[in-house]
Amino acid sequence: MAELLADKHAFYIAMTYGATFLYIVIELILLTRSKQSLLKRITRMGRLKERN
Amino acid sequence: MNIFTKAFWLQLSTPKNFYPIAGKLIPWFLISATLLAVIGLYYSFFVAPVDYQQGNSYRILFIHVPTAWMSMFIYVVMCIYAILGLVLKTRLSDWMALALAPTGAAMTFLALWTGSFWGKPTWGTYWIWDARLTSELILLFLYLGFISLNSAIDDPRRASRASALLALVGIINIPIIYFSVKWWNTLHQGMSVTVDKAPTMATSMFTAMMLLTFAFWLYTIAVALMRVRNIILERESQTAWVQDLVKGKN
Repeated sequence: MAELLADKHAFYIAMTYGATFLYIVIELILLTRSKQSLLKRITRMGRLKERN
Repeated sequence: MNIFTKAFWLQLSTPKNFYPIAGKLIPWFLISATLLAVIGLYYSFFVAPVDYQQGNSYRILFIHVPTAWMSMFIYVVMCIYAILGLVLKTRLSDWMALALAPTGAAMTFLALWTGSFWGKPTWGTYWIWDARLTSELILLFLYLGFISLNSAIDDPRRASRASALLALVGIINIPIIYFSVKWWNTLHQGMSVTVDKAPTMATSMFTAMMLLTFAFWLYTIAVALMRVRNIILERESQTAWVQDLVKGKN
């Protein structure tokens, strides 16, 4: 691993694996958050409907 | 229940029935994808040897090749769902196509991004207007066009129909991407892995590539199911079953 980090192409390898990992994390967070906000919105709509 | 009957598939394709089944499948796909990714990364960094010509920079291909394959594969699957939506008029097919598009666009972007970081140390340039690279860039525009067209039209039925037609026209680009290295004299290298021939690389390199390909494949299924569940919630928010489901959660 130390040899890989010292490699002259380490930057290109880091940009590849780093960007892919970042994309996966961001996509999973966004999907989870959008589900939570959807559930909140539907709950609010349901409460409004019951009140009216 | 017999899975070979039309009734079974019609029953499964209703949003109300599909939503809980997808919810149960997501963790399995995510866990399997994580396991395969961990083993694949171990192979790609610790088992696969240094390439005698490219040095360590070839390790970029363990991400680049699976994402490039996925970008084309997702487009074909998206088209199949779009055709099903057009012909059978099943809403879930339209929603599956819509759910796959952002992940397909991301895979295409990653293929271009990682390819440029492989190109710089290998070819001496991040980008060249080569047939393979250009057709892959067109694929990214097709995905973005599909997503944009779907969100630009207010009526969901018309939006699905219009974007399905765009997807169908764009499918011509898939064989162009795949065979571009054969049809034209390109800077991009030819195919190292084909269905009819043994791979022209070391077994440990091939294993790492295939493990990460399957990891990406399972991940794509998981996120597509997560996204389609969100679409179902959004489009069916007025229905009694969604209201009951949300009440049950609170």
